[in-house]
Amino acid sequence: MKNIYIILLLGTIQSILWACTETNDVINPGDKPVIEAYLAPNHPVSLKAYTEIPYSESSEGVSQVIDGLSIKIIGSNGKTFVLKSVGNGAYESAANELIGVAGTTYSLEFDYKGRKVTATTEIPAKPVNFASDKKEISRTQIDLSAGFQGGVRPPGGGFNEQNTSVNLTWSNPNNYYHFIAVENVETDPVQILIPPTGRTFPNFRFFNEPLTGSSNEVRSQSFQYFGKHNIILYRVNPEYAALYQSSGTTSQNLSTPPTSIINGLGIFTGINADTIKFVVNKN
Amino acid sequence: MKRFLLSSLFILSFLSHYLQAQEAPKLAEENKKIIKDEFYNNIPMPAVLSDLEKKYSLKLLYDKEALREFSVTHWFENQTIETGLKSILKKLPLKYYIDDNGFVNIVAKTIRVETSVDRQFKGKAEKTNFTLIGRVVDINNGENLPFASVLVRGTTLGGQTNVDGYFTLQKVPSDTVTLEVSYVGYRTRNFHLNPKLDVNDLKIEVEPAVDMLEEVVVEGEKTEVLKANEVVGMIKMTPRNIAKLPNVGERDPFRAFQLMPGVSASNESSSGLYVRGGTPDQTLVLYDGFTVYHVDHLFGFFSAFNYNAIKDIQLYKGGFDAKFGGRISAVAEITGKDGNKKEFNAGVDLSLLSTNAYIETPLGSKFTFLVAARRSYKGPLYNKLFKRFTSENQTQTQQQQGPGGFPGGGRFGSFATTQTASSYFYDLNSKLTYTPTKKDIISLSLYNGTDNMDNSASSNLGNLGGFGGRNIGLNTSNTDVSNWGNLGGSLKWSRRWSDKFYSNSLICYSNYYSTRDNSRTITTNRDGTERELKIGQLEDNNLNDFTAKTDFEWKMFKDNQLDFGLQYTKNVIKYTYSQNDTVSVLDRNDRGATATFYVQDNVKLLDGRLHLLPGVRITNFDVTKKNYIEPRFSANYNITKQLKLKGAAGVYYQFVKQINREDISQGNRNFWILSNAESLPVTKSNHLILGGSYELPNYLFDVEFYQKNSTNITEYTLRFVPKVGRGLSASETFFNGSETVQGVDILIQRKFGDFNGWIGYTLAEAKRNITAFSDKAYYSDQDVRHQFKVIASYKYKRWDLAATWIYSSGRPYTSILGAYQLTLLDGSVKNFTNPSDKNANRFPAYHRMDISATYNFSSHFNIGFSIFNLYNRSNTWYKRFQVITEDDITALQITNVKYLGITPNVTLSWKLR
Repeated sequence: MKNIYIILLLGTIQSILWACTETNDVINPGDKPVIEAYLAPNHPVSLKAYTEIPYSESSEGVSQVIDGLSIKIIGSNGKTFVLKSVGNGAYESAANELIGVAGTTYSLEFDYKGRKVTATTEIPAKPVNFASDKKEISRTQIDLSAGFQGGVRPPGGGFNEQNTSVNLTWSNPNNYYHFIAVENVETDPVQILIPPTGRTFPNFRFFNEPLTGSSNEVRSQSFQYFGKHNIILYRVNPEYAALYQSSGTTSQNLSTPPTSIINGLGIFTGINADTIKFVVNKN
Repeated sequence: MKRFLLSSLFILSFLSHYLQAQEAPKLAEENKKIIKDEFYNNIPMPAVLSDLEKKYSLKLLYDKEALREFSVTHWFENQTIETGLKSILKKLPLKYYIDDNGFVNIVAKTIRVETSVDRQFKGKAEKTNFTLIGRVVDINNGENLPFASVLVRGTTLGGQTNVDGYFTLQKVPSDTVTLEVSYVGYRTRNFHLNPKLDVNDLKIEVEPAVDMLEEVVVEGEKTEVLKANEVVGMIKMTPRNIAKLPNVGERDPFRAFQLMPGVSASNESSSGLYVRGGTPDQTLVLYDGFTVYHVDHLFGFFSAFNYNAIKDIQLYKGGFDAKFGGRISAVAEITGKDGNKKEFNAGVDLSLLSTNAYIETPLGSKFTFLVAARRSYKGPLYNKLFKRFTSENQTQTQQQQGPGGFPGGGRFGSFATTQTASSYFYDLNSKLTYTPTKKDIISLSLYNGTDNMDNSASSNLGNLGGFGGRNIGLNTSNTDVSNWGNLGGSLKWSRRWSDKFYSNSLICYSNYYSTRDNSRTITTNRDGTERELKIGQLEDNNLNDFTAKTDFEWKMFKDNQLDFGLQYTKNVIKYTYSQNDTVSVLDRNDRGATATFYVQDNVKLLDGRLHLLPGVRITNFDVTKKNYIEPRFSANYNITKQLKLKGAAGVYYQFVKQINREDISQGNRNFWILSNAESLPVTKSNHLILGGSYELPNYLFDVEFYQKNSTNITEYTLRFVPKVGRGLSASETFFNGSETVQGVDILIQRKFGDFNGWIGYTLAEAKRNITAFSDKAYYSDQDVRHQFKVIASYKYKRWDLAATWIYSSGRPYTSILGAYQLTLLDGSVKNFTNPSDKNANRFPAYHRMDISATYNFSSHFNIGFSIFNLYNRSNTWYKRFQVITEDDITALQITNVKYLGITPNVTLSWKLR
């Protein structure tokens, strides 16, 4: 008899405790679109939309492009872009529709799977007083395609260059984020370091991160190709800088990917840039 | 410090024994005769005794049959029988005592000696309605026993000894009543008063239950005996109970608490107490009055407390009274041993993990001293545990060591890696107790525990001579050194001012330190020019706590005791977390003080059946410049002798918080910070507990329902901020919200007998609501729906066998939904993983069985075998997600990182007495 009471009591308690319990939903992969759009002044809008690589314990998925969305970008200057889906996940504004000047705010807006995807960004000002202390450097080509077989030293020498750096400076009294990118603009660039046959070097990236300082240096060894380069100084917004934060890889420290897009993922940000021409000569 | 204590240890070991005389009946005149010259060589003991009886007409009592197996070789030379017996019996399992008639009785050591207080006094009472003051002590070592229960039989009059082992009973009806004295782990004693006893300084000796698990393991609620222990949600243990439970390497009081309902048992990587949906930092841990801020050894596998140095632990699972504050979840109050008051004693435990030794001794008649130390050594078990906690780390380290940027670097020259991993922990407890008068006790208690972990490695990418014959060297050395530990001490003065007024004053210091240097130093050597670059993380947390406090007990009149006290705590907490030499991610230097007053009234009504404890605690926190008022209330009502209802409610504030920066790949680090008025508000929690218990002589059924509503719970994350190039403000990394915990704890215990143990069940739910993480409530990291625990022990001849089985629903975790790549402005591609809603997934259930068997060669020596995780269950610790890109295919990889598998251990324990 006593037992019955205990069971009844427990049952009642349990129902009281759990009557109001809600559980967290799992948002299915693919519910949030990934957006990649950099808005630069005086350029037409170009945007990419695609799905996440869905995660499942059993199978491997791939990312799919998303076409056919009706995406609007509304500017604070009263100008609205209606983007055209051109296939392969790409969206463009008409060639004569250009992003406005620094200080203009743009809002992204479209519907995806029943949710409104929105994001806002501002076009930053153009970098000020961007200068470099050199306009050119010289490098010697190193050919490792013969390999090291038979103890034969490969010809040439890579590191006997002047150990010079290209020092870049700009004004940044307000500590805005700036970011350096180096781009080879030759149509048929020639490699400085030719890898051994059958091997490839991975792309030597410039390990740059957005910085709030007012100077940076590019070391001569960082250049992979001979010829003309653009050294581009971007002024970027914090939402872009956020992409560089390290993200966790275990269930204990996973971090939400940094994004300013509501109900979406990826990057929607305004950028501005200044460019210096630079040449890497062959010795 | 350490050296000083070690040297004093050596001095002490040479000290001779000090035997304190016990109150004893007088020896019969015949037994005082001097035995001039009697020599016995290997003669059976009964023959020796009967020979002496005849020759000197001694008055002896003994059992001839029982003594037949013992032979005596002794020369009585101008000795009394008493002196002679002392040396004869030293080597035998026998003892003697003098009974009320002056007879010398010779009995086996295991037999309890009856004295006048073991029999009901037949004469007339001389005193009535008097005040009785006394103390409860361990019969073997004379240690005063705190929180023991003393009850006048047949009445509801009772009390509890204080932290120094003293008790006061007012209005005792007569000096011929019987006291029931009970203490967890000891045999309950019926102590019969008689008019000859000193009612102002009564010493009641109680005897440890010989077989450690035989008697009460857990003091839940009792109706008949433990009147004063009737505190809601309290569990009490003495370390002796722990000794024969299964263990991994160390006998651990905190691990033993984890076997109780309401304390989570499924966090192998933390020995901290997750009490009723709370986190370990919400549990106040007091060791001899000072706060211990970090309780983990070896990545949390063991607690920092050495059971050889501990006398008593009480755990309040919630609803605790106004005496305690500064934490919102629970209180673990640990009382260290004073040291043997009767004689020198020492003991050693050897396990596959560590050596643990202690020495305790009286120093003269007024001092006692104890020192206990342990240190791990790198045995197979240590290595196994160490690898379990660091292998992930090492894998990562190794990957970093590759000559970055030069794939296939091995072809470019010699590539050598050396890795030195070393690690150890040690701790040291010592206590000096001085009893200048019968009214004063002064004690100095010191604790130091440290973990040191060095997981450094270095690699050398030698000569890159291929490039034009130039001499280029590249050295990388990875430093990964962690140190953490506690240093604490307290100086305590207890004084019994009168039979009604008692005070306990403390000055305490506690320091917690944790440093970590996880960095890579890259030295490039180009034609003799060296360039050094340091990349990595440096972390330093240092907490200082200076506390002065005084507690007063005032027994105003019968059935009413007023407790009040003052406390002042100054906290100085530093935390710096920097990256790459220069960038300071977090740099905090907090100072704050709390000044507290509390008062509570212990009232018994309805002939003692109703026990009320209203109280209030008021704290001023100088950082926020506010007063925090915490009303507390608890009550018990005995419906019948067996059936009892109980409840508690209260408000709790917490001013220092531990932030868990869970980051397994870099080592899981916690750090302490101080609340402030802005981004780190003072945490508040409201408790409500209702329950009941039903107690039979051998069984206890206990149920408690609880609910905790907390606000200003803080979580720390770097996930929402761009951390590049600048420091962080607190508001960007700390997020506050609320938490609701509710559940029920059920305990069914078989208290006595060769076969005993308990079944515990907890049904609970802990949900947080922090809008930064999710607009809906999510389950807290420590949320576990069901926990079921069975603990059984069985005594068979000289064996003590024990088994525990734990089942726990899985903990929640954050999984990932998917991954994606973005092309950055320089054309590079970066991978991102997208987590699911916070804690929206569950690990599989956690369960494991541990068993142990202890063989007792004697009461001084035993060997214990135990197996952790007997059936080798793979319990998931956490999951690791990796995005792997190969040949343009980007895939996601999942790894389940497991807790410890089957792990055996052996422990040898020896003690002098």
